[in-house]
Amino acid sequence: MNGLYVINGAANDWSEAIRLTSGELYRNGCVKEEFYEKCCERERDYPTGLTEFCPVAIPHASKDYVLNQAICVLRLQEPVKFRSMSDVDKQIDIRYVLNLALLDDSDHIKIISQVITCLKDKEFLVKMDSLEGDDLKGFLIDNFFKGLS
Amino acid sequence: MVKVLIACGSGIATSSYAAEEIVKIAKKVGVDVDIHKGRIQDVSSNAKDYDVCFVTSKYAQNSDTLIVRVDGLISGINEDETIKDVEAALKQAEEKNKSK
Repeated sequence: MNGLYVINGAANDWSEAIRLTSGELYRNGCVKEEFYEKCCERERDYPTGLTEFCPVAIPHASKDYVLNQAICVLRLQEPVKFRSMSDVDKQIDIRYVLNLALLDDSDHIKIISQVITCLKDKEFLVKMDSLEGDDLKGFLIDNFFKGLS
Repeated sequence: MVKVLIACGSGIATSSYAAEEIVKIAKKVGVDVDIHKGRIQDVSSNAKDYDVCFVTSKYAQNSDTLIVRVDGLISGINEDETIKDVEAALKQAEEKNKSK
């Protein structure tokens, strides 16, 4: 069973943004309390901001802090700067945070592959921007969890 | 058989994706690979056990093992060049094994 949560929110910086997503995952029983701090630790060492063309960050942490596999998607009211995965000295204005709570099972590879494949497609972001609420949630579930229960 | 380590910050997300892509690339160029996943912070101590390491973030080369950055596979930036780098690294590792 893979969960997907969509929230809207405002954050002053990247750690506040991760606090929103990991808080949502925690309240839904998907992650342990330490998940937030572990995501931040990882983000400091290995940032997850993608690109200007794809203003999405994919913070995550080790499976040790995950209880149920899930993704929390945060749509930010105003962009927040995350450092770039490719160039850690560069900052990118991020509009969506996809906080990944992954377990090391057969599903997680499929999920991460589908998430990244979707994000590389420019039309995918346009579509995300055009949807709200349950429509956005349904769209993301269909695409990220394709072929999974 | 080329022994490959694919490492990212957590050893679970970007390395899993990169692994899938690298398996495809290896098939395309006809190199047999034995894929292992790990964390970047462990690369410096474990690299010697592998023929080639692929990492999804910045990494300071301090090992005799060939280490190649593959974050382009994830971000899509310079993806074609990254694929060429992977192909070259796999072939180079295969040649090196043959000559052993």
